[in-house]
Amino acid sequence: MNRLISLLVCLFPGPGCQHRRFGMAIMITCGSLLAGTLFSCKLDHGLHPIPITGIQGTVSFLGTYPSNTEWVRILCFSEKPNPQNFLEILAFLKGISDPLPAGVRTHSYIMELQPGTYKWVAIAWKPEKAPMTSLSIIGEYRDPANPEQPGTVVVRSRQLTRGIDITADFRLLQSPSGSTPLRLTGTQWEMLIRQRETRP
Amino acid sequence: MKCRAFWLALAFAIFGTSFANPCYGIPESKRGTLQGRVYDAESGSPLPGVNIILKGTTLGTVTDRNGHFLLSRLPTGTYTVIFSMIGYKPRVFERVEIHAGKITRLDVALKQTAIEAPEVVVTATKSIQRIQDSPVSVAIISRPRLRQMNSITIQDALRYTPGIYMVADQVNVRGSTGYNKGAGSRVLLLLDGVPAIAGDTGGINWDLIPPTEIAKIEIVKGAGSALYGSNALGGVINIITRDPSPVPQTRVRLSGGFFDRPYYDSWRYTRKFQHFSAVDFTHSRKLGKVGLLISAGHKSSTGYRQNGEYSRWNIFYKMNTRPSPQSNLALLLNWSYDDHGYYVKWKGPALNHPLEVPPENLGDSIHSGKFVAHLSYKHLLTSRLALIARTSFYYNNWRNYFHDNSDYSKTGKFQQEIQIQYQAGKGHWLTGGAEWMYHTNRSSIFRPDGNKRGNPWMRDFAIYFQDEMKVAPILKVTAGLRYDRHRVWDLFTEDQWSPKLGLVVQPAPFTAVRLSVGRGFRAASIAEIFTNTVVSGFRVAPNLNLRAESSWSYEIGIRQQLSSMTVVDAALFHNLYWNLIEPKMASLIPPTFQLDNLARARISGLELSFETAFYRQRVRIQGAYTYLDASRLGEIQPIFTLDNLFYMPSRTLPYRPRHLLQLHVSYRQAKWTIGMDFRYMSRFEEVLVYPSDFRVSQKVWDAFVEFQITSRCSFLMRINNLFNYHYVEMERDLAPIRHVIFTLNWQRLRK
Repeated sequence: MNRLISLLVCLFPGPGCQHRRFGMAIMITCGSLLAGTLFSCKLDHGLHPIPITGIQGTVSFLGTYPSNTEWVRILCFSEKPNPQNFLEILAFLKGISDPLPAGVRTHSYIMELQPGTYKWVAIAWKPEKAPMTSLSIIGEYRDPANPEQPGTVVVRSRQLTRGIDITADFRLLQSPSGSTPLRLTGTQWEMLIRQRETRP
Repeated sequence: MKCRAFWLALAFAIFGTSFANPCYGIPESKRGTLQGRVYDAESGSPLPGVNIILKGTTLGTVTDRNGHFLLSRLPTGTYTVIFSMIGYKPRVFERVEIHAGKITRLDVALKQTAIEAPEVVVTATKSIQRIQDSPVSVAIISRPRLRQMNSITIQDALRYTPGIYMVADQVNVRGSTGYNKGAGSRVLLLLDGVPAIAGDTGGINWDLIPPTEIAKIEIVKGAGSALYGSNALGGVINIITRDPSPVPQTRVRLSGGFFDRPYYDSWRYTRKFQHFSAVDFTHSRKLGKVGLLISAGHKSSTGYRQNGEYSRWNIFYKMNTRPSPQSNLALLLNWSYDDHGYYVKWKGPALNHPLEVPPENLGDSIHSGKFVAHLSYKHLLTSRLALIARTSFYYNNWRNYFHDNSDYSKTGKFQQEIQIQYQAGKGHWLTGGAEWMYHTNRSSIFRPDGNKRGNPWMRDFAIYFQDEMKVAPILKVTAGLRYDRHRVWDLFTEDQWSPKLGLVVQPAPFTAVRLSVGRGFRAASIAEIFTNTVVSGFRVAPNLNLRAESSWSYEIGIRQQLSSMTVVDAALFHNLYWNLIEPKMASLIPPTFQLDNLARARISGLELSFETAFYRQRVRIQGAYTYLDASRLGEIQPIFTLDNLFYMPSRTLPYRPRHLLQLHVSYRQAKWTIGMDFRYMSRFEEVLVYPSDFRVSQKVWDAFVEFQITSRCSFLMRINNLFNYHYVEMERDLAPIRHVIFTLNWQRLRK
C-alpha cells in the first residue's frame, strides 16, 4: 500500500518523490494523450447537416384561413386510402409534416420521408380543440400530366424530390361535400394502436 | 390567514428564542475572551475577512481590516477554533481554553493553498465539518473557480463538477434525474441551507441567484432526505451566498461577449451580430454592528438561435448582525425577473435548420418573477447547546406568451425550521429539528377535473434527528432519521421515513474511508398532480393519485491526501429507485397523457477524481471520471414518443451517459493565468422524445486567460466551446455554439 502511494505521489513531482522517472513517464504519457484528444476534438465538429431524403415544393392556399384552425399539415400515403376505411389509412400513412404557417398565401416546404413511392400526398386541416380524430383533407398533389388524378411521388435515398406543389382550398371546408373528411372513430384509434404495437 | 401565519412565523424567528439568552443564565464571572490576529504566512500582511468559528457552536466572527478579531463574553470551557478563508489552507486549533475573566490570545498564520476547494463543508450533516469527515461524497465549487468559469448562469459552473452533468436545465448528480421537463427536480437546491425549489413545478430556477454573490457551492451526492426531506432523491446542491464584508467594499463586474458562427455555414439563419452582456454592481459594508450587502444586476442576450433572447434583472440584499456575542441574525432578500424566448425544438426533422424554430413558435416567450426572503437566527443557549430558527418565503410566478397558449401560475411557499445542536461529549454531536412548510398555487393550468374548486395547496411537517459520534479515535459514526408528513390538498396524506447511516474510518492521518447508506424521496409537485391542459391536440390529465418516488443510496469511498497539494478521491455507488414518475398514455380516445408512478431503476457506478498543484503551485490540474450503469428494472412498457407512436425503450435509463470525464488545467505566471477545461460525455444510449434522431457524444473544450491588471482590477477572457463542437443535451435543442466572454472585475476595498 505504501509503495502504491509513493508511486502515486510521484505522478505529481515534488519533494519526497523516490520514483521521479516513473512519475515523469506517466506525466509525458498523460500529456501526449491530452494533446491527442485536443487534436482529435479540433477535427471533430459533432453533429452535421444530413442530406434530406424527402420532398420539396410549395403549398398555395385558397380561401380564408379559418380562425378555429389548430394546424394544417402535409400527410403522405403510400396508396390512396378510402377516407372512411380506417385500416387503409393506418396501413398507408407514412409521413406527417410539421404544422404549416398560419395565414400565409404560399409556403415553401421541405418534408423528410423514407425512400419509396407515395401515391397520395394530401393537406390535412385540424380544427382547434378538436381531438386528433377529426381531420379534413383540403388539398392533394395532382399528377402534372393528368390534373384530375392524384400524383405519384418517388423519393430516393439522400435526395430531395422537388416540385411537389399542392393547392389547399379552405373553401372546401364550407361546402358539405367539398372537403374529404378523414375521420377515425374511437374503435379505429384503438385498432391503430394495436396494429402499431404488433409491428416488428 | 396565510399572511398572518407568515408574520407570526417571522415574529417567532426573531423574538421567540431571545428569552433563552445565555446572558441571563451565565454570570459575568464565568465568561472569558478570545482575541488575536490573522496574517499571511508568507508576506506577514494582515488578512481581513477570515472566518473564525468555534466548532460545534454558533459562535464565530471575522477578522477586521487589520486582521484582528475579538470574541468577548464567551462561556468558559474548551473549544475547537477553525480559521478559514478561500485561497488559504484552513487551520484548526483543538482544546483552546477560555478562562473566566481572562483573555486567551491566538495569533494565526494562514498559508496560501493551490487547492482551491475550501476544505470545510456544512451541507452533509447541517454542521461544519472537514470534508474528509463527511460520510458521503461532497464536491465543492469555490469562489475562485466560479470566477474562472466566468459564468453568467450557475449551470455552466456545474457542468465541470465531478459526477455532475446537465440535460438542458435539469441537473443530474450521478445520473439521478435524466430529463423530466416540467416535472420536479430529483436534486434538491438549497439557498444558504434553505430549500429553494419552486412551489408549483417542483423544479429549479437557476436564475434565482446572481453568480457574482455566490461564495461557494457544495454538492452532496446520493440520497439526502434524512436531513433535507423531499427532492433530495439523488443529491443536494447548497448555494452559499457571500457574507457582508467587514470593511467597505464596492465591486463592479462588466461582462460582454458574442456568439460565433456555426461551423456549417448552411446553418446560419441571420447576419446579425449575436451578443450578450451583463452588469453587476455590489456594495458591502458594516454599519455599527450590522453588516450589509446589496447587489443589483442586469443580463441580456440576443441568443445564438431564434427565440434564444433573454433579459434578466435581479436585486440581492443580505444583512447580518450579532445582537449579542452568543447570537447571530441574518436576513436575505432576493428578487429577480426574467423575460426569455421559448425554444421548443429546431425547425424540421432533419439537421438542416438547428438554429431556427418552427415558424409558428417564432416569438414565443415566458415572463417570470421570483422573490425569496430568508430570516435566520442562531443562538448559543449554553456552551454546548445551540438553537437555530429559520423562516423563509419563496414566491414565483410565470406566464406563457405563446402563439397558442397564455397559461400562468403564481405560487407562494412558506417554510419554518427550528434546529437544535447539542454537544453531548467530546466528538459527540446531536442535531435535531422540526420543519413546517405550506405552499399554495393559483394558475390556469394546475387544476383538477370535475366539481372540485379552489386553489391546490400542499402542507408538510417533518422532524429529524442526527447523531454524530466518534466511537474510536479512527472511527466516526453518523446516524439519522427523518419523518415527513406530506398533505396534498384534501386528497391524500403521505408518510415518509428516511433513515441514514454513515461511517468514516481514518486509518492514517491523510486517509479517510467512508461508507454510507441513506434513503431519499421526492413528493410529486403541484404541477405533476394537477396539470390539466391540451397541447397540440393531446390532452394532459391530472393524476390525483400520484405518490412520491423514493430511492436508497449506498456508497463506499476513499479520500487520500497524497501530499499537501494533491488529493485523490474514489467512490463506488449503488442507487435504487422506486415509483419514478413518468408520463404514460392514460386513454386513447381522446389521446390523453398523465404522469404516474411507473418505473423502477438502478444506477451503479464509479467516480474517480483528483486535484493537484505543482511547479511552485503554478500548474493546477483537476480531473474526474464517472462511470454510470443505469438500468430500468421490472417490466418494460411501450411508450409514446414524438417520432413513434409506440416505442419500445431499451433497458438502459434515458438521458444517462455511460462515461463522463472532466478535466481542468491552468498555469499561473506573475499576473497571468491561462487554462483549459474539457468535458466528455458519452452519447446517451436512450432518449425518449425523438429516439430515432442522430446523436453524438459531447466533447467540449473551453479556454480562458486571466490578467490581474492592478490589485483592484482584473480582466478575464473565456472561449466556451473552443472548437465549435455541435451537440445536443436534449433532442432537437442544439447546445451553445462557440462564444467568447470578456469580463472586467473591479473592486475597491477601503482600508
